[in-house]
Amino acid sequence: MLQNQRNSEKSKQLRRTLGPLVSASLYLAPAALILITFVYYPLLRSVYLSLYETDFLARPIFFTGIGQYQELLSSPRFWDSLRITFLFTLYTVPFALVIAMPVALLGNLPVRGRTFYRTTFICTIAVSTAIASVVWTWMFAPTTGVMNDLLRLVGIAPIRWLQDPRFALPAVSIATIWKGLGLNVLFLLAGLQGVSDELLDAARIDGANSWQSFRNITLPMLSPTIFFLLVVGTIEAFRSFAQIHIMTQGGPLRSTSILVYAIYRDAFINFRFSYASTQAVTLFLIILALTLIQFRVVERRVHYQ
Amino acid sequence: MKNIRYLGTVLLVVMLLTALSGLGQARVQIEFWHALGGHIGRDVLVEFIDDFNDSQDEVYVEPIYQGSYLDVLNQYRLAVQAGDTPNLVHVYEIGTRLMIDLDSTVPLQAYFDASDLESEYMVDNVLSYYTIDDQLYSMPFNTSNAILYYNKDMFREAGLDPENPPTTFEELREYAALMTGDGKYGFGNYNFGWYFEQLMAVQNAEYVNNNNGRTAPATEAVFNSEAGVRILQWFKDMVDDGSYLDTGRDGSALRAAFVGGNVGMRIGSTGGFASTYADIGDRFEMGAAFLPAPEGVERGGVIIGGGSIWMPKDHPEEKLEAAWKFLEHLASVESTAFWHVNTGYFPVDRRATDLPEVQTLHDEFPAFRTAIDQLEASQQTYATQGAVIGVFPEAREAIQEAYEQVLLANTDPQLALDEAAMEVSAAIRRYNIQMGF
Repeated sequence: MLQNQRNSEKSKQLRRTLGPLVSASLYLAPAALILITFVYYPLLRSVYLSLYETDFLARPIFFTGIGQYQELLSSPRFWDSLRITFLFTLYTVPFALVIAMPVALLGNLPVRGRTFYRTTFICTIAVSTAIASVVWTWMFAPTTGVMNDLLRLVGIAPIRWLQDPRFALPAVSIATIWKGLGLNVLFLLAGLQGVSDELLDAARIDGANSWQSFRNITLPMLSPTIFFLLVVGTIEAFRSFAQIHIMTQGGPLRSTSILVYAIYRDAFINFRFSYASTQAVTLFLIILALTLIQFRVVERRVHYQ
Repeated sequence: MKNIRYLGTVLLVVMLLTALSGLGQARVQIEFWHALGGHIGRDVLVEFIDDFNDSQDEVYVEPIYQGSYLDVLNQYRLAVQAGDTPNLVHVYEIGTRLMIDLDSTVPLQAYFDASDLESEYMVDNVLSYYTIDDQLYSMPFNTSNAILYYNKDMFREAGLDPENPPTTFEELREYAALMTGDGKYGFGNYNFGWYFEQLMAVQNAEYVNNNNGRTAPATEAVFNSEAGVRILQWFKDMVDDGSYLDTGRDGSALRAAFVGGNVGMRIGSTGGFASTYADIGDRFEMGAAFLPAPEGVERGGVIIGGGSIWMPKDHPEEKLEAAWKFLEHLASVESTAFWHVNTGYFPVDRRATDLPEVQTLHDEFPAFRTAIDQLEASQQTYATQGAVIGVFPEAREAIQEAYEQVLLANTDPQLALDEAAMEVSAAIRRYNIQMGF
């Protein structure tokens, strides 16, 4: 009798601990399934393929070990792609933030037509990168593009935006910044809602001018948002593909051949799946390292409430 | 609540009836993957297939646009891996070797021999391109080659005779200089490896060894010859003259510049004729001429470009039969005439030129005729049959990079092509190892 009672007590306890676990797993299952199928499995498969030579159906033929990694690290093209990727990140992420900040601050002013104003800037989120890239390609067209019309208007000789290796990367970056503006503005606006009015009022009473209250109150309060956008933006820049594919195909003279595009080229033009996998794994490690560094170095300066 | 249940019953009945009527027809569904975008894919192809579907009730073809030629090839490779191939797949000419080596389709020779199609009337260059080891592997579909488009109004303004377009590299360079100025360029071009392949064939020069890979698998690239250098040097000279508009890799920017009357001459595909005419409207008069060849070089000819249609195996016999029925229709005199009139692609069957609609077209726009004449004037050599290599996409990319090296970084053409050839030879060797050649 007592034994029975103790047993049922035990199973009740077990159910109490296991119950949440089971339901949690059930809730997580769909997401986990998707992540495993589309993220973890391909990742592991890439690691596996990078250690083999493959045929053009991406089937492994023979084991090469770290041979492909050695080839990659000694290839000047890889280092060039890496340099271009960093440059692209440098051109896009900070500028997209710096431009989004005043736009968001203005959008936070209590004036009429604010919703319209906000929508104008945020709507770039709704445009797909592919479509934006096509439109920007037209705008950068050498003889018929509006960008060169503008230059002519102010008396500057037209630029061969996407055909000149000096301008191609900046041109693609401009398109990317424009495309990324919406997301940045949206998050900054959301962040601005969290800046306490009391603090700002107090600062005003203490005689702080608007720059001082921005510098000392708004900016620190926004820092978690800015940090988030910085991390996400960097990852996004490292993974950019569509705009390169549509606007320049990595050219001219490989001046826009960022790492992801180099991977695409090796896999889907050159049919070297193993070498492409090697680069993909390397890219993964680089992004991982960068994100860790950002968390260690930059996050120290972030103010969390 | 009751209403909903009632509605459900009605829906069920309707669905059952539709399914039953489908059974009654018993049409064989054919999935056809293609790479024809823009107006041709959206309007011309759809009209063509609708007409076919309406004309009989045994076969129903469903066209599926899969993106660029390269995209189709990649999608198809994935489909082969997954064992889920379409019934017909449209592959560009340079995918031929890869398709043969994939060994996933039925060669069409036997079907062809058993059909009413008569090879004696088919354009030789076209059949021979897709015939390897005496087997016709795929059905020639949209067939084009490169031709010189020119703006007759700009010729007149520059004091040139619009009925006497340039025939040599040297003449073209001279004419281009005369037409340049005031924001206009005598010649425009975009970085497209196919033009290089055509200009090699014009000089009767081969692209890879072993007779362009046609008598044995190629082992080495040979486009870094005198002929290859001449092409890049020619472009470079015109860039230095200031008469060359380079739109990089953007073909539509070149098209916009030509249609807008800012470019006097360009090299383009015959497949773009009809739509270019439509875009120009009555802004200016367009002419077409044979591709120029360097002075003193014996003329070879042009390679056919475009695509052909392959029939994947591992489908039930009735599907194969149905797919073949569509291919047979595609190669008929009427069909090739339809394609020619609506796009500018060649009529694969020579008898099409006797049809009234084609004759009317040629009288009104002699440029369409020029394209056919250029193909027929081509010598039949390994050079003009075109190279067959499995790594063609990569080779094209290498050529395009050499072009950029020469035009943008002032690299010596020989040097740039040597480097490209080295890269392509390495790719060919890797391919041959992968294929076990």
